Amino acid sequence: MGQAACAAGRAYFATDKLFWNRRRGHLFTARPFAYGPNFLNSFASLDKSTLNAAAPSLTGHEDIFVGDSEMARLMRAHDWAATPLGPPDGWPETLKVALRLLLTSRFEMWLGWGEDVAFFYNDAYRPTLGNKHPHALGMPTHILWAEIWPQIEGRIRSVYEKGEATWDRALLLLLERNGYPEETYHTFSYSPLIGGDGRVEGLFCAVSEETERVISERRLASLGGLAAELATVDSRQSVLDTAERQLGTNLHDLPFALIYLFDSDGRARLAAASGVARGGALAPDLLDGAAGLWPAGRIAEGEDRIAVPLDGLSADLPTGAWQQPPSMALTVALEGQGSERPIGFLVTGINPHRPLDDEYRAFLGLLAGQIASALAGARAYEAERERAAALAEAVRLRQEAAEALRLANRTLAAEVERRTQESARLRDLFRQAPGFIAVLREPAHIFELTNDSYRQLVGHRDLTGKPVREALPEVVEQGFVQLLDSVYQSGEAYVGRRMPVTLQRTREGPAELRYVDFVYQPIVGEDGKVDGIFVEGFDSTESQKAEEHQRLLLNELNHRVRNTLAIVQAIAQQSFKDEHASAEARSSFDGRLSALSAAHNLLTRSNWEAASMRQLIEDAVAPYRGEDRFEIAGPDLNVAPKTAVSLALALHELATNAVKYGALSVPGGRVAIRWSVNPDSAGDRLAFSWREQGGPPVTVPTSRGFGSRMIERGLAAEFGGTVRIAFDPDGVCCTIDAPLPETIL
Amino acid sequence: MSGLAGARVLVLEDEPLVAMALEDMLVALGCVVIGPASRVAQALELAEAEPIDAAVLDVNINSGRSFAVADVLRRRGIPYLYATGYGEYGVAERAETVPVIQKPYRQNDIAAGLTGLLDTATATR
Repeated sequence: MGQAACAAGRAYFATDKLFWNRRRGHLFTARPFAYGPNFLNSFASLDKSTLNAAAPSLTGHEDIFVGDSEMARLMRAHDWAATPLGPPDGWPETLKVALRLLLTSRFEMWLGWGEDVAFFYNDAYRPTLGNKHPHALGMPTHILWAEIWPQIEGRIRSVYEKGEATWDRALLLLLERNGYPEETYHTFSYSPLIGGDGRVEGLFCAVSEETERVISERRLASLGGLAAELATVDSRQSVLDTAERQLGTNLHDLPFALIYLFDSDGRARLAAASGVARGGALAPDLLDGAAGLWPAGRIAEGEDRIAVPLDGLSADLPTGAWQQPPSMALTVALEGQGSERPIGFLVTGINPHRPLDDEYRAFLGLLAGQIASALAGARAYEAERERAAALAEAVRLRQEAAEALRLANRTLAAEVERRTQESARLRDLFRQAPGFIAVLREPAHIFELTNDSYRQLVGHRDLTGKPVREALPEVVEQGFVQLLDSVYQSGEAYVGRRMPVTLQRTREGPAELRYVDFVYQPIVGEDGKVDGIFVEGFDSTESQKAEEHQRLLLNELNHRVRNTLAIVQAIAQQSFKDEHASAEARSSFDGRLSALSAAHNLLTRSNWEAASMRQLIEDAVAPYRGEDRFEIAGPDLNVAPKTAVSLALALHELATNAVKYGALSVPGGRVAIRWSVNPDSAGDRLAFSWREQGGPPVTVPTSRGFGSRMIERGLAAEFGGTVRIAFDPDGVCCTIDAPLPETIL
Repeated sequence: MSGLAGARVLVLEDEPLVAMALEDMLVALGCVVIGPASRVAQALELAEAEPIDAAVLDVNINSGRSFAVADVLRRRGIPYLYATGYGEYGVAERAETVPVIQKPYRQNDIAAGLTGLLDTATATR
C-alpha cells in the first residue's frame, strides 16, 4: 500500500502545474458557510448507543471501510450521503485505497478529502482527538481543528496547491481536545492524494504524537540542569540563586516559581523568584501568618502539596512561556533533613496548557526535593565552613595576639633600654658633675647618693647608707648637722657662702680647712613632707685662697703706694721747711696729697675695681663738712679707678677754693653737689655740678691756678666730655657733661 | 701749743724720711719724741724701759709686725695708735680697738689721734 501511495505521488508530480491552475481560488473557500456554529450540533445525536448499535455489523462498504476497528465501523455507519462527499460508492478510487490503508494500519493516521478536507482517521488517531472523537469523522478540517488552523492551513495549502509533502517534527499544537487548549507535540507529514484525473484531491497524514516525550524531556532537562548546577554550589545563597535561574529556564512548566524559607520566627520569607518580580501580590517578601496568598501555615504544619487556585488574581499574573496565565499554583514543601519540619516551600505556577497530573506533580516534587536537599547540604557545608572559618579566625587571633605581644615586648624592651640609658646618662651627669652633690634621707640624714665631687671633698670615705653624724663625725661640732636638722624641720633651704669646714680628708693626716658654697635643699615627698635633703655646692677653697691672695697683693700694693706717698710728704715737709715755702703752699700740697691718698683708700676698699661715686664725693668733702654745708644728691654710680682719682683731686681743689674764697669761707655758705644720668640719643650722659651759694661775691680770677687748670683740662680729658668752671657772682659753678660709658662702670 | 705739749710719744717707723717727718710733726705739737725706733727690738726696749705717754706704731716693720711692741704697751697701760699704709685691714687680725691713721698723714691727723688717746687714757685713769 505504501508503494502505491508513493507511485500516486510520483504520478501527480508530473502534472502539478496544470492541476494547480485549475484549482486555484476554489479550495476551502467554496463552502465554509455550510458548517456554521450549529454544525457540530448535528453530531450531538451520535451517542454511544448509536455507535454501539452500529459497531457489530458490517452493514455495507466493507470493501472500503475494511476491518473491525472502531473507526471502520463508525465509517460504515456514517450517513455519507448526507455529506458533500456523497455515498461511498461514488468515491474516487484513490480515496478508497487510502481509506483501506488508513483503517488497516495501527500507525496513527488521518486523511482529508475534497475541498473541505473532510476528516477521516483511524483508531490509533483517536487519543489525539480527545473529546472531538467520534464526531470528528467527516468534519471539514478547518472546523475540526479551528484552534490550530492558522498553523496547519499553510501546510495543507502547500499539499493541495503544490502537491508538495510537508514534514514537521514535534510541532507544538494547542489542541482543544480535553476542554482546554492542551499543549501537544506532533511529528507528522502531509502527503498529497492524487485523484483519477491526476489532481490532488486530498491529503494523507501519518502522525506521531510526542507530547509525553517532549514534556518529559523538558522536565528532565530542568531537573538535570538544576541538579548539575546545584552540585557545584556550596552556600545557601548560591543554591537559591541557582534555583532561581534554573527554574526560570523552564517557563513552560514553571510560568513562575517562588521559594519561601521559614525564618527563625517561623515566618516565610521570599528567597527566590523566577518569572515574576519580587514584592508583588504574588511574591510578597514576607508571609506573615495566614493573611498571605500562599498557605505557609499549612505547609509548616506538615501538608506536603497544596494546590492554590489563581482565578481571582488573573490581572497581574505572569504568563511564562504562554499567552495565557496559569489558573493554578502548587506549593510543595521543602523538607528539612531527617524528620524535622519543612524549611520552606516551593510555589510554582501550573502550565495552563497541561493537566496537573501525577507526572507534573512528580516533577515539581523532584524540583523541590533537589532544592531542599541542596539547601540542607549548603547549610551543612556552611556550618562546616563556619567552623573552619572560626578555627582559622581563632588561629589568626592567636597569631595576632602573639604578634601584639612580641611588639609590646619589643616596645617595652626599647623603653627599658631608653630609660636605662637615660638613667645612666643622669647618673653620669650626676656623678661627673663639677659641683658636689649628695642626697640625704630621713631625719638622721643618711647618705643615699653622693657624686665623685662630694666624695673627693670629704675624702673618699664610705658614705652610702650611713648618717652624716657617723660618716663625717668631725662636722657635727662645726654645726652642720644642726643646720641639716633645721632645714629638715623647717622645710626651708639653707644657702652657705664661703663656709669654712674642717674635714678629715685622710685617715692619718691632719684635718683640712675647706671653704664651700652650698645649698641644703629640702626634698619634699609625695605626702608634702620633707623626707630628705639635696646637698649641692662647690668647693670654693681654691677661689677663697685666690681671693685672699689677691686681696693680700692689693693690700701690699696699697701699702707701698701709701708708704711712698708718706715718703713724698716727708720729702715735701723737709723741702718746704722754714723760709723755702709758705705755710699755705705746704698746706696746699698736704691737702692735695691727702685727697690723692683718700681716693686710693677708697679704691683699696673696693679692691681697685670701682669706687662709689657718692662715697668718693663724701670722702673728698669730709674735711670741710660740718654744720650741714653740703647738699649731696645723685644716684650711686660706680666710677672707674683712674676717673675716681681725677674726680677726687678735682673735688679737693673745688673744696679748697671754696674754703679760701668761696661759699665755705663765710658762715652760711653752702655747696650743692648734684649729678644725674640722662638719656641721650647717643646713650646715657652724666651731668655733674658743683654749685656754691651764700658766699662772698665772686670775682673772676685774673689768672688760672693749678686747681682750675687741673679741673678744666685734666678732668675733661679724663671724662671725655666738657668741664666748665663758671665764676658766677652768686657762686662758683663747675659742671661736667660727659658720656656715661666712658666714665662709669 | 696744745694738750699734747710735753707728752712723751714713742715712735716706731722703719722708713727714715717718714720717721723724720713724724718727728717734726710731734715736735711741732710740743711732744717729746721717744725714738724714733726703726726696729721692733729697739722699740721693745724703749717700750719696756722708757716712761711713755703714748705711741705711734708703724705696723709693717722690715717685713715683720709691730704687734709685739703693742703687746708690751698694752700690758703697761700705755695707749698707742697705728700709722699704716695697710689701712684698717692690716690690723684687722689683731681684733684690737686701736685707732689707725692712714699713711700719708698730716700733722692734724697725728694731733687728733694722739689727743684722742690721751683723753681716753685720762678719762679711764
